[in-house]
Amino acid sequence: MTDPPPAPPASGRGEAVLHLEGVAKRFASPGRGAPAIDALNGVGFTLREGRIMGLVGPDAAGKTTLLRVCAGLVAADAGEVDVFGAPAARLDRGLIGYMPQAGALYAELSVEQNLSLYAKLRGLRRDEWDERIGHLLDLTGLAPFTRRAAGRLSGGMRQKLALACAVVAAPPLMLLDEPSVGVDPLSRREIWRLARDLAGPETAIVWATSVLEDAEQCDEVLVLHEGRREYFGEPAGLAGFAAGRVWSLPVPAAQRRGALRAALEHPATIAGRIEGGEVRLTLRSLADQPPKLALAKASWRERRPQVHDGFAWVLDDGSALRPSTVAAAFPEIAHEADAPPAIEAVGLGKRYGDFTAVHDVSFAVAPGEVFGLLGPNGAGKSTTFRMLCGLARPTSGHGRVAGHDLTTAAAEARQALGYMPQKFSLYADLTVAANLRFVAGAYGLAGACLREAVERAVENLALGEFWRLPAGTLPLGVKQRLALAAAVMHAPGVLFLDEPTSGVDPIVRREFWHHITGIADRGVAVLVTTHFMDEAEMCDRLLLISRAETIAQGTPEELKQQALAVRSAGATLEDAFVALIAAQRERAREAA
Amino acid sequence: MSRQGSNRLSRLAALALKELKVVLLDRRARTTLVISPIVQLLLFGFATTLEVKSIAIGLVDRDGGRAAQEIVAALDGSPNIRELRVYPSERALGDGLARREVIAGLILPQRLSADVAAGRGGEVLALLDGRRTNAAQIVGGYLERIVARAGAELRPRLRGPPQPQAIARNWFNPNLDYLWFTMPAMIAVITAVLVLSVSAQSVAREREFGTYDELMILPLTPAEILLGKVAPAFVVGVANCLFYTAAIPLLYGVPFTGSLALLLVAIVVYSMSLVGLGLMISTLAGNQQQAFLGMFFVTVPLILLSGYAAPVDNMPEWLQPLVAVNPTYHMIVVSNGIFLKDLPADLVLKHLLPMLGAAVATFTMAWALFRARSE
Repeated sequence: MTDPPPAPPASGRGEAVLHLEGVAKRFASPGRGAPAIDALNGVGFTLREGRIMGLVGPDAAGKTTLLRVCAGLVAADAGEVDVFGAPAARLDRGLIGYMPQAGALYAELSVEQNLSLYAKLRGLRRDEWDERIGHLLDLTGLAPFTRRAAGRLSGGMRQKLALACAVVAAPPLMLLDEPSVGVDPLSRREIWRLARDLAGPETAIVWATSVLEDAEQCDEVLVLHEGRREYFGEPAGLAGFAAGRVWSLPVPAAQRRGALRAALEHPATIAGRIEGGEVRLTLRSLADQPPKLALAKASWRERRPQVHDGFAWVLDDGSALRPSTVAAAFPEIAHEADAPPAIEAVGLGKRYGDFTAVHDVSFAVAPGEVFGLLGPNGAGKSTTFRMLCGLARPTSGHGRVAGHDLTTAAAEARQALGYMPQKFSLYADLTVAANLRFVAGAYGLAGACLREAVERAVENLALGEFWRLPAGTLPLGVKQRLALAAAVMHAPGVLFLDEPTSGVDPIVRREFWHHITGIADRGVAVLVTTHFMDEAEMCDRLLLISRAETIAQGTPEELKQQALAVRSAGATLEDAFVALIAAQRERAREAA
Repeated sequence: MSRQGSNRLSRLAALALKELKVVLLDRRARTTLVISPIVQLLLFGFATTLEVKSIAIGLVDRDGGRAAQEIVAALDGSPNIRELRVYPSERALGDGLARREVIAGLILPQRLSADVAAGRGGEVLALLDGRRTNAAQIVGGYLERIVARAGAELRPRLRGPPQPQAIARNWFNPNLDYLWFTMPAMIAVITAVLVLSVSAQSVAREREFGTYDELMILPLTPAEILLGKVAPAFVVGVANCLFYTAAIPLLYGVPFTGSLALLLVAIVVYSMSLVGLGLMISTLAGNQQQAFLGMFFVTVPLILLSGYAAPVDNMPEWLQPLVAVNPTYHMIVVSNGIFLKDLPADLVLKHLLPMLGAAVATFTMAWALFRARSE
């Protein structure tokens, strides 16, 4: 698109844009029994011009607070905050482009109105507007949608617009709070390209994220954990912590998930994932040997560590994952190989007026299978998902869940399924206890049965200490656990998970998938949507939807093969995802 | 059936409990629900009725006979009337009204005493200051009562847009204390505002906070969801009614002559009709702000067409059918009746039925809308 950016100056040279030392910030308790929060505790770093710093850490690590301190929106309790050589309190805000989490767009205003509003607010001269806004529209690829309301954009486009609005005046410092949260791999690549295009050679960027793939793109990484700095330096240095601790082993597809679960429950393991047909582990100590897995014939091989391995090592709390008690609470569902599918979509379609959201999607999920729905934001993935759990009515075709037709026996179908929505949907004002009691009651439990079910859920998902707290005050990871507890309260035979780990840190994600695969092994059919390719690798089969249509269906390996057949792509699932979608777009262009 | 039935009941109980908690845990809602009835009670009781005590009345006496003397004596003796001004002519009285020397005036015609004595019932013309409509109407009520005692009829005329007024006779309020009317009616008005605000927010809140999906995925039918949302509105309606029934006699000495049980039954049916209306608004609204505006859109006509602010008889013909289906109108009649004249059950029932009809109609519509928009 443009010339490659000039090589960034090496660390230690160039003017310091941000310089923090011993920064601390404590927030009072949000009330009703929730504890006070030490958001930052002695954090310091220096960011020089032209550099991109990744701010990574688990949820509630203090990332947002640190960004707000740098932007001069929150005053630190202690420590020194210098921005462009001056204290943050006397900062010229015009020098900073701050993009808050989820952006600060006016949903009712159009793309163009949002941009010109921010141009005005940022004090851009009237004669510069047209050129700058035109340039931003080109870069974001939003030029065809200038009149569309921001609230009606897909997730990826919305993030791009929010980014463009934040940096409309081309500030020399960009503070971006999770610009890539909840977006698909393709959009994430586009957002990265956009940020680099928008940055001048001297622009410094702070990029907060809980996605470690983002961290790999940065010049420097600051790892925060519970308000403390755990690491600051180049990404390679972070990966280096795990050197000699990363191992992989090829395992046949049918046993992969079980093997990973067994390995994760081994005390020597801190993290693990499935990658290209292999189980890949990060071990706690150099002295540890990877656990022996009964079914594997091949032997473990040492691998080159990546950023996520180092991150897992840095944040390791020394304890192994315990077997999923959530899964153990499910009755074993016996199922034969030729059992009828638990979830079935037949020619499912949905139109809103002239707009086709989903066109002719068909698939079936067997009991005990984890089925992944992938696709770019706005491709029709969520609509398909919502039709199958009865939240949207199909305009063509039909869906069945646990043998019940969704249009004629909706109540029976809903009794048979558990659902975890993308956004936290429980009652923020109610306590954890009240929320769980409500959900259990709504599933028709009462008296001793209800008490038992609620107690079991609380114990299995370790919610005991939050029992009396309002759900709205919980950290994100705990919220997700609560949502899962509510979804599996009645031990459903079918589980729907809509981006269950969106915005959640890798530690919680690992714990979550431990439960999910455990539940599937009890014979539950799981339909899951995700933007994380490591999660997609955990699925038995995948369906890739783009522009309302199915473009690929099969096991992760089959998807990679299909991608290789259409164009030369890299070896990872993410490469396959990007390649298959690009191929579809090319076909559409040729046809036009 | 029993298993299914108990299942359904426990579901409804869980829903109702959740709705109650959600409303009571919301600090803003709690403040509105507790503070606003108290403020209204004090405001309406003390502030708005002050202007009809200590008033000046004008008089043009062309009769001077027995009936006229009786009227003058009664006016003079009334504790609410501070001053009685005598004017020489109708024109002088008109000027006096214009200068705000008096709020109302009586013109006693020449043949008044003769007509009364002959049993033909005389007519007295009343001029009222149309700029102070509310106060003037209350004063009109006083004057009518006084004139009636003398055996004549009052023909009131509002200055400003001249319009003949017919005012109900105040048999059950012999002291003509206006509070006796306003306070029992306040129960109906404040219940309307509170119950509507609680129910209008209920579905809209779920949409705004994203809890709507969770609600829709649970095995609950639209009817169950709507019935669950009735609980907080009922609690608000009944609690408010009990508070007012206790406070009004204590603070303002308004007698409570009827049956509390009947009043509670009426309040429950009345709240039901309001909840249906509130849920309709809530189902149509996309967020709480829209729900609030929708509630405003409904509350104002509900109160204006209830006879609380302006007498129903004064409204044009074509509006009368709307009054007949307005639950607030019926509730005001019932509340006044139970407070002041021990309204018997059969007469209460006559007003309960239209409220029940309104409840069924609004619920059915809310249910249909909810089903249609449940996607």
